[in-house]
Amino acid sequence: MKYEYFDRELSWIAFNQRVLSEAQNQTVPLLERVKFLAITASNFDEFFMVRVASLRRAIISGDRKIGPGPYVPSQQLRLVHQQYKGFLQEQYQLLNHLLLPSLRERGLSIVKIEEWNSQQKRHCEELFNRELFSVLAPVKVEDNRPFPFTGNLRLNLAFLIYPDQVADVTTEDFRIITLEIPPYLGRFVPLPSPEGCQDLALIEDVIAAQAHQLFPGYQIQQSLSFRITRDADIPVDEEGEEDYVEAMEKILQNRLHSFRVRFEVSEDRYELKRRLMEALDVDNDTVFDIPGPLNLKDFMSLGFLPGFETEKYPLWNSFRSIPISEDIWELIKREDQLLFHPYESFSPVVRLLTEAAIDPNVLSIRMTLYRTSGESPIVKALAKAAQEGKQVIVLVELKARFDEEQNLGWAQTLEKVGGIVIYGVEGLKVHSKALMIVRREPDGIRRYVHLGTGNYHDKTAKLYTDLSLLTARPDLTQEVAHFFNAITGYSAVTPLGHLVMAPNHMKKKILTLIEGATRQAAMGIPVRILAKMNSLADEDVIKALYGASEAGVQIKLNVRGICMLVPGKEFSVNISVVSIVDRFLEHSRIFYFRVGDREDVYLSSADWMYRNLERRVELMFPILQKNLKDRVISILKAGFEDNVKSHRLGPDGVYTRRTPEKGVSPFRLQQLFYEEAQKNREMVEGQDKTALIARKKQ
Amino acid sequence: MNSKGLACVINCTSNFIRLVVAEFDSEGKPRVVDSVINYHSLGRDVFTYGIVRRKALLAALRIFTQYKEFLEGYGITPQESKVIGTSALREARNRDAFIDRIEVRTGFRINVIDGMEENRLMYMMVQHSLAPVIPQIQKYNAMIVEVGGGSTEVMLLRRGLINAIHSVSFGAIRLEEDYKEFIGSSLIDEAAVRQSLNTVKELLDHEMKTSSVRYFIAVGNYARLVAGILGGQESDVYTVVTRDDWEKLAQDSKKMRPEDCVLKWGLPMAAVEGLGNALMACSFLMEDSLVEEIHIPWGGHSEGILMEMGPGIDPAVQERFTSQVRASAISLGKKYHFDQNHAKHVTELALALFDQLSLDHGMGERARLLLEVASLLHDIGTFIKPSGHHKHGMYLVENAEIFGLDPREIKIVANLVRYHRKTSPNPTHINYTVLPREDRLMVLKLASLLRVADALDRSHSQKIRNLKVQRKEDEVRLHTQWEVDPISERFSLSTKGRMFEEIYGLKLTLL
Repeated sequence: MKYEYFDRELSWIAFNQRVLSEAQNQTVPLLERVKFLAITASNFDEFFMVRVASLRRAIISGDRKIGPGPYVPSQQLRLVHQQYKGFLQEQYQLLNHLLLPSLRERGLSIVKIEEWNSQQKRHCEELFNRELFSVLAPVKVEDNRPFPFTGNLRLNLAFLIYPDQVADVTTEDFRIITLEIPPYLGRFVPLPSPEGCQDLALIEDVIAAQAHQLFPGYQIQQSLSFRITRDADIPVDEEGEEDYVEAMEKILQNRLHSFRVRFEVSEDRYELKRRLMEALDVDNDTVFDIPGPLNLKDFMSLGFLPGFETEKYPLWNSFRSIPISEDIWELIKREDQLLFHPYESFSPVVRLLTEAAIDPNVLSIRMTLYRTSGESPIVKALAKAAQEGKQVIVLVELKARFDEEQNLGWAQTLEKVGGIVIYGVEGLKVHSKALMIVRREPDGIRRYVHLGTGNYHDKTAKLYTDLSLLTARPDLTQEVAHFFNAITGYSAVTPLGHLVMAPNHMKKKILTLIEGATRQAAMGIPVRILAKMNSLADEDVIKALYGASEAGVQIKLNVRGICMLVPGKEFSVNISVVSIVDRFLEHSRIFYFRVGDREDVYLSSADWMYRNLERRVELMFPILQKNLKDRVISILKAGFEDNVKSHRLGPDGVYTRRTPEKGVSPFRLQQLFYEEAQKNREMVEGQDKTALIARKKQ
Repeated sequence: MNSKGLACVINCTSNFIRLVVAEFDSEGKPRVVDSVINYHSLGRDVFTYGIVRRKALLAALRIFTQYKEFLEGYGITPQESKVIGTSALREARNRDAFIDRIEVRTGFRINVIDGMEENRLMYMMVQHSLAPVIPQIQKYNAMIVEVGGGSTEVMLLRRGLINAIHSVSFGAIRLEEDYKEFIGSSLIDEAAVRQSLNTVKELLDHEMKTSSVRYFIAVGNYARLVAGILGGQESDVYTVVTRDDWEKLAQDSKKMRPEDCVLKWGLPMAAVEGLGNALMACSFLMEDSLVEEIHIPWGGHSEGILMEMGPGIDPAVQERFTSQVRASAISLGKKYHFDQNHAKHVTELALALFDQLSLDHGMGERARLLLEVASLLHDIGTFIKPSGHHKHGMYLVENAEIFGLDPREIKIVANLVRYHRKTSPNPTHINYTVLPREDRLMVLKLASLLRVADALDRSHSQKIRNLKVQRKEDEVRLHTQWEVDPISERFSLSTKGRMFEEIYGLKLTLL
């Protein structure tokens, strides 16, 4: 029987559609809906930069089918464009006819130029003269010269102008001027507003309204805003470049000029658009007319406007599940600790590092950093530790998409204070998240390890659901030491017992686990596989799952994003797939295998995708401690029960929102986890207080 | 051990350089804290060209430079590390230049050890790693084997005691290089392995029937790789795999190219080179044996060295070690049909003298062990010809494989055998004069004791018992018990005791 697969790109668009459905969801607070809308736009930005760009490259290099999906790249691109156009209509239908009018009813208005009252007009004019005029740099588009530089994804204005004094204006007299709007100006300009209301103007309107000041002696015939998206995924030439950092810097430079994959223009100013397209040398396929303000990503900031609390989700603060009064080293030494983010705070991990930095018994710290911010307390702690004379070795992934510029800065800072920074592993992206602190204790060397499914990024740790394991068990930590020795280049890869590493062993291990389960099931032993991940797109793994389903293994998958596996067909009758999109981004990867009475649980930084399993350094680690294992299993299982924020994938590729069946009460997963965390918070904080009081009394 | 209580040992073999960091528990037992391994092609160079070539030197330099940085994380300097080199470096013609390069550039000083020393380290490590199962193994016959890139160490244990040890120049990498030169291909078949090991196998079979071997202990990096591939970890220091699995892997690996091994097992290319040969070699050695399971300790030579670096070595292990040295000497004596009763009796007497005259000679445990070995072997030269047997004995010892003694100690023992009779050392004796001063002194002091002991059993009839030494002002009185007056012993002592009287300045009287 022939196995089937969903198209990878269309599956991704379906995911974004689920995000959009949260924006369309009337039970979601208004400003949160605006945020979800902004996320869909931001997702598409990345999608065009990376996926569409690589489809275009694949078409140029022969249009051969990549992976198991049904289409060749040119077909994929056509379908993507087609669906994107429909998506755009949905986005702006929602924004223009639902979200903006509703916001206006609640006192938050985006006011168009023609609606400005005289006070608002004056305000904008003053603002333009005082702050904008001097920072704007209009550039003339000239024939036979390269198109003026425009930053990737930056919002631009274009003007078609002609001289004032000429009597008979001919086409030759027209000039095109472009103007990039510096992002630091912000997108929304607060206007003088009636009591209890907030009026905002779009920055491009404020500039356009006064644009005549920029072109003395000319008349403006037409104006529009536009945006260019470029290919971001240019491979680094590791062979040719002596210095990786230098190579990366070159790429950042190149990215500014790499080829264009999308050209968005506002409104249909035919003449100006035609001339721009000509000057940019873009074809019709690449051009998208946007029926409203461009760059919806910027609308994210509306969600963070002060006030309008009723239009936002109530604040869900994370709580510190390991109290400050507790000696964190002793605690981890006693037993493994599991943290469930963002319900539980990431701060214990930060605390561990901060304490390690000044602990005279700490010998060395090793860590992988994929995405982090320069201001992050983690980087500061590492720098401190290096200054204190500890050996700090950090493996930085410079290829972490879009964060390269940020990464380079702090990496160099860390080097200056004596840290050893290793920039990537040859040919592979380091995506695993691991931290190891080596500490001398009276009874010998002990290692404290953090292994996680998420990044060491203080901001995303508040928005992504991830799991962290803190452990000092020698059987695990010894292997983490081997892992670090291997990826830092101190040692060749050695066989490991508990930890599983990609690209060397992980795929083999996953296949072995699935195939082992399949064999057992064929012998009549009850077997279950539950797995949660962000994307499922590896052909071999999917095949193994089909095989397992055919052998009678019960398989439940919770896949947030891309899923190329087709559930519910003859070859996958025992497989079901759900996907949860809620206020936190589902991000943890949990794999569960139950064969007879034996249960194995793994956490991982890796999705079941080709790129994770074969092109990246990833870790998969078992949860060995009984109580934590039980907890992870219950977290995983609960994910299949959500009937509020969950969709079910059908055999036809259609995702259907799950609703509570008759007599079943609504169950929202993230709500449950939050409430559970709150109960624990009260308990822990109560303890913490008593402990602190007791300490003060002493 | 450094100020932080940590020690580092690096082992530079023909195909890898392995570093081990360890700490010591309250009993002085080492516990490995960290270990790293990197593969290189030193062996390929040496076995083919006789020297380490530039590329391999640079690769080794790079590895040692990284190790220096790695050790900073533990506050250990290159000078505090102990570095050993094995077969490839033993043979490299340019080894001094190589060692000097490494030391000048990185600070690590490599000490090249010989095959017997490797055997000893292997034994020490096995004692340590397999401690929980040692009592069981000691009930049966066992074989410890390490197939390396350039040499193979084999040890036969008869009910726990060393029966024979060998260091042979069969190597998993060397074999490939030899064949490459010979038939232009490095693809080895089983026949080639059997052929190269056939003589060794016959020799071993002669010393202890392979068919009586129940335990097979596979040591070294290839064995560790096998353990990693087959899994089945028994404890955190060793792994047990079944013989069936081992054989199956050996068969599989024959059909696999290195690239396939890399893909299948996720191991670096350099690690799997020669793996198939090593597997087949062990399979061949355990053919016809009773072996069902193969024990694979996780340690290597480095762990053996670490055992001796701790603040106090376990007395039980030390005692077991001494008895192994003794067993090894006795099995060598048997090979040359020595008069075991005489040898043991002389040994007993010599040690009695050594122990009771400790204030006069001021020597320690190690010297005692050398005296013991020399006493056991002093007459083996008669195997060749009674006349001049001290000289034949010297040659035999010098070229023998005695467990637990390093080359310098072997030389001392050989000299002791040489000087247990006839002329005492003089400046025309090359083998004596090449010894360092302190070794020459040791030979003088121990040989004179051995002469006395040998004299006391001149008739080879063990008449004299219960030797008690009475120390007077300038005289040593030997109180003994006998049934028949030991005329010939008295007579012999009058000549053989002379060296003692000269060296110690004490008159000897037999009462």
